[in-house]
Amino acid sequence: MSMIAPPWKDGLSPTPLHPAVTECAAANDWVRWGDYSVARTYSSWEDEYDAIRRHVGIADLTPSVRYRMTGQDAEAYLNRLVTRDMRRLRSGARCATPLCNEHGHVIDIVHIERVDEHIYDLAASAKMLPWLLDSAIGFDDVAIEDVTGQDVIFGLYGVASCATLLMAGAEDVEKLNPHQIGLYKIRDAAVVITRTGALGEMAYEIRAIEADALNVWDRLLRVGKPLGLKPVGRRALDMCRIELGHLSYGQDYIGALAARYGNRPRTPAELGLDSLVDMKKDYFTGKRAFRQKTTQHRTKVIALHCDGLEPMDHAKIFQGDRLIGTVTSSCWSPKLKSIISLATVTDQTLAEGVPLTLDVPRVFELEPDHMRINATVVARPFYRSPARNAKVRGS
Amino acid sequence: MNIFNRLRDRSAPEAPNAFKGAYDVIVIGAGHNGLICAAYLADAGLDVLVVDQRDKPGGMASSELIDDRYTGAMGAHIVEGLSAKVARDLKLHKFGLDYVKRQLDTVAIDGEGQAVRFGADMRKSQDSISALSPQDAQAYPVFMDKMQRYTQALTGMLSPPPLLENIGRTDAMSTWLKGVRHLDQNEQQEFVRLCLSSVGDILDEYFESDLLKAALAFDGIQGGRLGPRDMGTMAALLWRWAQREVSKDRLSIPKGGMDTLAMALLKAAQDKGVAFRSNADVKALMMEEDQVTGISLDGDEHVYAKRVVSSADPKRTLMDLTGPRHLDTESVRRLKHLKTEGTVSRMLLTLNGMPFFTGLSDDDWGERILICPHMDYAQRSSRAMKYNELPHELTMEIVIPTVFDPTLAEFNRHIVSANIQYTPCEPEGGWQQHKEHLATKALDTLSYCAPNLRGLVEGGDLWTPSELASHFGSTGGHWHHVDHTLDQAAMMRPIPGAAQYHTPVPGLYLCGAGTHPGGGVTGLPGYYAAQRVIFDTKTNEQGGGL
Repeated sequence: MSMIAPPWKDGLSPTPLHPAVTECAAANDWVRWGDYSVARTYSSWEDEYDAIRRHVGIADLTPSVRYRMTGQDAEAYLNRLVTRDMRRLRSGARCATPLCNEHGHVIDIVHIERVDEHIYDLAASAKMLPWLLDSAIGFDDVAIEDVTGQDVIFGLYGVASCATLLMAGAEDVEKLNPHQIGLYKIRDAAVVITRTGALGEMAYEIRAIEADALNVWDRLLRVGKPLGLKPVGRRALDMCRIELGHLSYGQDYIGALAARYGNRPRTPAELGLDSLVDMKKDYFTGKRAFRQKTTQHRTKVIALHCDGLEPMDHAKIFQGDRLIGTVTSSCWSPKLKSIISLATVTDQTLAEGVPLTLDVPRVFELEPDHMRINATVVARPFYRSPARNAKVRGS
Repeated sequence: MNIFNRLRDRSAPEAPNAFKGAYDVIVIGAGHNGLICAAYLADAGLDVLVVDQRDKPGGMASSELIDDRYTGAMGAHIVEGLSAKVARDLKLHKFGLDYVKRQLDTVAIDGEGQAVRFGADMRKSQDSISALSPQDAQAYPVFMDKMQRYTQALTGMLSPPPLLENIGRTDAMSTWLKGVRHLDQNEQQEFVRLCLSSVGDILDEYFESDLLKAALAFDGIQGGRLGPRDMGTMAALLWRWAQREVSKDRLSIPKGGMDTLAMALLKAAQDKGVAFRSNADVKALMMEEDQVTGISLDGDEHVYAKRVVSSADPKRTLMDLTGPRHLDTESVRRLKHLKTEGTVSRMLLTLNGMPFFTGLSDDDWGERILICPHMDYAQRSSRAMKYNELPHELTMEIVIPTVFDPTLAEFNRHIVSANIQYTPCEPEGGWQQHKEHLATKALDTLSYCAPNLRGLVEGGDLWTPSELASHFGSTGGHWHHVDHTLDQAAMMRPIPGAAQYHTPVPGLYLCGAGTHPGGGVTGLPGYYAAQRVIFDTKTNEQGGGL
């Protein structure tokens, strides 16, 4: 009897950078991202966080889900797909936008790059090809392709990120404005560089073909060393993400296509993204639901300063005796010297400065236990570097 | 509101012809549902324009003079279940609607000489059935009386169902299901079982004669894609019978061909002030701020209206005229899955004499003749069609309207009007190579049942589902626009989010056979759609059934 390989992939794939990444990954601490394994921490998350906030950090973003839309109708197609006006997105620019279903529930918050007049790249948090294909019915000239893992993608974060790229040979990269895309060369390898502002830092995304990937990684690591460059893992990235107050798919909100219960998905307003919904543009999926207000807004995302010294994910939130919500993301913030949390609450009027109590579940010496912690509602973001949008002066 | 006043002021003086540039409501398509809807709207005081791409009204329920020799129907050849209320309200008889024959009986033949006839007269039906099987003759009235209970229960469900989103609300559901609530507990259980069963299984429980079973099953499968052994066909049969309940004439043949009905409807509508514009092909709907503002016709002409009611099929209305760009992805998805492929080909033959079908007596000639000797015969054909092949055996429904109405053709000429069931919409390899074959096969089948027919044939025409689709402008050429299956019934007809004659697009309504209670010539979709539009006008709603 022969063994038949299952149609799905068993285990996780290494990214093309794996051989190089393993050398730096002294902690041997890996985490799943899509079908790939990536480092959670390389050596110490404190150092990695420090690199992002004070020097420069480099991350392997290859597993992020990417789709490419090409064709004359790609603009109209995307305009119907997402809530922001895609006609305003110029060639060589990028933006973040929610995309919704017919009830106005958020499916995902995606990044769209207009690579060329009729070529777009869409970076999503989860796979959604059936949705994208069905949305293309009626648009004659648009081709949609899943290009996840096709190119190797690096993230470069921190004040020295621009300097690192310049030293690596990407000439004139300092002229790239936030949310702009350009074509550069690093050690003879053609790369596409986008200035993103991710994590609230000066940040770049570098895309190279697989054959060049290890070369580019080596080069960046070598030239960045004097600037304090370190490879950074998912843990440090997630800390910075929470400090910026960005919502993570599957953690702070459930995508409408993934939700099993009808009341779980959230509207853009509930996620604080209503400014990204353009009611003046042409029709998009969900617009009628927004106009007719058929979908209720039940919840609100808030930011919390918490007492205590440990992250308190999934803690229940009480206002007085009333249970009003749950903590969705939580971490120690080295910048703020406090535990910070993102939470979803049912009270939409909750204002900054309101004191709340958290009921944190924990297990203490094999006994289930819980502790009560005080917290205060604060503004989002918790922290954001002024360098994120700063103009870079030429060398 | 302001937009419309502005539009109306601007466009009214510029109208290039006798027609105005703006109306309260525009009805797309002058089929029976479109005209009925328009007549009711005009009756409520609205300014209504009906446009149709063809040069005459009637849509799929009309007849035409073919080759200057005879009048035949390319679409429906029997008026089935025209609502008595509609006929009364619109005074259709005053406007010329008359029948040469009401309450047609059904005669089924197997080609071998056996025949069975059943219809309104129970005594006569039993007599005929007893020739096949005395057991069946006894069972027949029991079966019919029982089914009558369930048919009655269903007639209440012909009224507009509650929205799918209200399916959990007992108040909304219980009004609609009033008829079912009046059944006792055992009957309710039986009702649910019947609705989910195949017509074949149920008939097997009552009868032993294959010919009788096949004949009774025929009404559950005609026009659709399912075979008598497929689940849900019993519901289709009961639904069809329930549709006939609303008409006192049941199956009837109008005097002067199907056009009599179309012309009566047009006159009734025009009498109420409806403007009718033929040869007006709607290119697209005009939209402003995601709302319908009118139609644009061939030749860049715009006609404005605050509300547009379409009797075209849902796919054409929403996918072609409105366009997916104005719809949510979910709606487009549902429309994509809509089953609209037609299964019936039409054949008209002119004969210079009367064909004698084996087994039929003289007074059977004018009735509805079915060629469907066995349920498995139909089942095999449906299987072939499912895989886009021509069936080896043809299931047919035949009417010879000239028996009662000699005016339709020249003296001593007869017309055989046949529906050929289970012909694929697009057979493997295209119709070009199959059409000839189908015609031969149909003629063979008819000649087998009526040996003298072949010698009498003077001429004839055959239209495949795809030809009917392009002739009538309906996607797929389906009789009922949208197949009568359980997943496309009631609050899911045509799609969730577009039930109750609303569409997702504010100001756009549906009134065709693709809406509840579906196809046939009942006129109920048109009537209920008009009620919806009138209600919305009074409450100043814009529709948009999300």
